[in-house]
Amino acid sequence: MFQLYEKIPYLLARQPNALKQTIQTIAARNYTNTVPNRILEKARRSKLGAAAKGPSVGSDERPKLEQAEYSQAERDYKYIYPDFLPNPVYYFRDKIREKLERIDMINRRKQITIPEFYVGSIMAVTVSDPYAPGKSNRFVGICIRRDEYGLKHSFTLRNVIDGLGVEIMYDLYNPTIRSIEVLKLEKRLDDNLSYLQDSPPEYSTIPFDFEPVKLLPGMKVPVNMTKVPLKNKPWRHAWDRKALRGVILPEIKRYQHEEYMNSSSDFKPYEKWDLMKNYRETIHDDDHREIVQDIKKFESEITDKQEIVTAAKKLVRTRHIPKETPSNEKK
Amino acid sequence: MSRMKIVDDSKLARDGMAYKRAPKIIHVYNKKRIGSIGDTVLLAVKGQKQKAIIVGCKNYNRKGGIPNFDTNNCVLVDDQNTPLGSRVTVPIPASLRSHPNCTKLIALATNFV
Repeated sequence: MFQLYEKIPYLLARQPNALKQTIQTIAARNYTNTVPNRILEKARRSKLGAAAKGPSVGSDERPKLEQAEYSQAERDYKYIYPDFLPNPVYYFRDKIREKLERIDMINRRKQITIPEFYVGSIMAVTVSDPYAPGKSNRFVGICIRRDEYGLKHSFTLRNVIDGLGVEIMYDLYNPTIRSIEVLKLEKRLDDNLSYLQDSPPEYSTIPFDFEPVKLLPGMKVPVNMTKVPLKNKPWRHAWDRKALRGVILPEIKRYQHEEYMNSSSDFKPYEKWDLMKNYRETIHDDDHREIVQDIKKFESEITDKQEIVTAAKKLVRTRHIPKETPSNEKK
Repeated sequence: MSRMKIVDDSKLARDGMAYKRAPKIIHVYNKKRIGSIGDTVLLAVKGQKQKAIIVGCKNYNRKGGIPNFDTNNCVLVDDQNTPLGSRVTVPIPASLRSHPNCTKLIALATNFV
């Protein structure tokens, strides 16, 4: 802003339009989370989106619903495949790029099996490493966080080795990854377990020979309800300012705590009732429908492929190989 | 002047970690002047100057597959990059295997991540 004030008299005299543009860009920078309605509607009614035919907020005429209702199973894809969700901020959205990225992601998923996992589940990742003795490197740890949208999607594993905490971030669609295994499928109380850095080491130590735990088919993903005690300060981040559920904070005097909470900026318990904010930070069901169609098509292809592979294996097993008859001796 | 943890079993490392002042980086032998994994630095240990190699960093690396640790670790070395100790007590990143500075250091390490 400061630089703009110096330029104002020059711009007013010569380029009044340029001044308007710069003011608009600065205004957009400050309020990136608020989108004018005309831009929203333009994106929704574009021919590229599936939402063009469906109902949209603020449209004059409401066309009838031709598609089936959005079922709970389809809504669960948001949690099973969070990497397929686009960035909810409209300024970063581009429907062509999203479509192309989705094709790339599905092509990669046809090469290796990327299982369903959540923050808090225990995983093992093997990466090809040309300098390692076995040409590959394996790491086991808890999944602490999942970041980014689309092809950039990444996850972080944490473990304590020789008394030292180690965290490794992996890109989910990195071609050097050989395999991703889920040893224990589990959820935790929070979406981000970065606070394990400031907790005692026994809460994030996992042996490298951890045996995989199997879930029964049709079972829901269990939630691990353990609460982690934090060490005394200093911390890496101010964990007490964030509304965390899986944390036991060290004792602070009550008046100190209240003062701290009032002065803090991150602690906003009223935000969960902010409907507009919630709407803007999540992907609308109409937008998600197109993604679900792609995923369903991919899943059906994968199951077909698996059936063919299993059938081929059965053939090999049951094929009767006749013994060589000593034909020469008979003669 | 970031404070380091020396992960070595040499005598200077043990005394330096028990000394009243923590070992600090004075200089980074690097054009960028910001140290990262594999860079040689000059440390102030127990009132004397000593070269060292950074073996693990706290900072979050956007590059996938490279670990970041809970502490900033380093190993004391000679002018010819030969380590003073005979053992490295913590795991070190596997990407150092291909680093030209760390060929002598890697022989001492037991754990790679």
